[in-house]
Amino acid sequence: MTREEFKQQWDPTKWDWEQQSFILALYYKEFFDIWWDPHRYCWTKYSWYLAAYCKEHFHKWWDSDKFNWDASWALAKHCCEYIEHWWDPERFDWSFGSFDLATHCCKKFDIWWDPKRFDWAGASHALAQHCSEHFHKWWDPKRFDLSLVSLKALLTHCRNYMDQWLPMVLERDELVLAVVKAVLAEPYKARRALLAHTFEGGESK
Amino acid sequence: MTREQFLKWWNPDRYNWVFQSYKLALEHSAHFDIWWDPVRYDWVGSSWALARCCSEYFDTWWDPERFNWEHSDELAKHCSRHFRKWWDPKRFNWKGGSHLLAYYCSEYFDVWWDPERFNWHDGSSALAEACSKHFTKWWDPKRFYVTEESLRALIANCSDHLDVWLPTILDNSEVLRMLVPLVVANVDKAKKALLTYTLEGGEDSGRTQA
Repeated sequence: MTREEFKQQWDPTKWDWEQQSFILALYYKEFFDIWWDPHRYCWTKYSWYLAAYCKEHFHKWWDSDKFNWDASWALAKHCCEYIEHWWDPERFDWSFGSFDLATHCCKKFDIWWDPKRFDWAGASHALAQHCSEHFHKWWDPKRFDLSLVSLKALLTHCRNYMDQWLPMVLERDELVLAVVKAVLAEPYKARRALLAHTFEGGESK
Repeated sequence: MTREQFLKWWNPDRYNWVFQSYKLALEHSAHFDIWWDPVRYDWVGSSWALARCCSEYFDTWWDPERFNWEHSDELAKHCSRHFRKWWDPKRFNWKGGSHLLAYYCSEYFDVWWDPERFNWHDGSSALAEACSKHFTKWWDPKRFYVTEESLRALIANCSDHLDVWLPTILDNSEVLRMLVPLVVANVDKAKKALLTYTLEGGEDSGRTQA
């Protein structure tokens, strides 16, 4: 459909805004300036469609009082570049949005980071995976939720800070503690074993 | 029961040998010389009790033809000092007694060791724990049964052979597969972390493990 065709057919009074606002955001975002009507758009149900599909029109639709903050995770996920405009730590849904903040807004870390509000249980692994360059700012062994997933993220992305997170791992897992002690007691033997293991294809099993 | 009391009470003709032979061994081993009767004793159901409670009279009661070899795990556990007298690899209960051989008869390791018959599933931990001196003879990464318990036993008792068993641990733990190379590449950092952990009371504080 061309812009002209859409303009001719478009009748905001006949559109079912309550049920179909999302169709506009999803399929007609290039005609946003034609159909956009902040009074008719169903903000309650479809705020997140705006964040997800119409981010290039952010400045036209953004209204902090109309936006449904239950969908604020979508702002973190899709509109990080505008975070200075929409960020409101009081309204942001930390329990659903912490993961997306850590995953998609790591470059704006200093704007949103709040260790007291961050959902450590649900998004510690995302911090380790995506915000390793800010490790010193967020690392807190009393808050970090150590799980297999978050440990893998530490191992993969926060290797340089091993001296800081390893004590926590040692405290949680007796087997790991025992292996690390054994390896440190015989580092040369361990290195030899690793070499043999790599050559024997152990790592690719 | 004193010897006199036992003598008064004991009547071999009235005793229920079929169902209660084991009780004689279990409760009256001190009077073994009085009640012992290899013909009446219930070898099938009560051999285990002889091995368990009457090892000091082993030479008196031992009869490899009558002994129920299903109970030979008790021989391994309680009659290890008579090992050379009773050992018979073809009759021994390898399924139930392999780990007891490893635990209690390690000094005869070279006599009993048979990797084909040994029950690796139940006995790997015991090998690592009690037969570390013979590590090079028994170690087989394809047969060693990996559990948290057996790995702990390896780590605690076979540290001299770390280069041999470490690959097996790495193959069985994704976390360690990632962590160990990191530790080896950063020995100083890892030592610092271990020190931090120790200084913070990690090992002595009795904190609940997660």
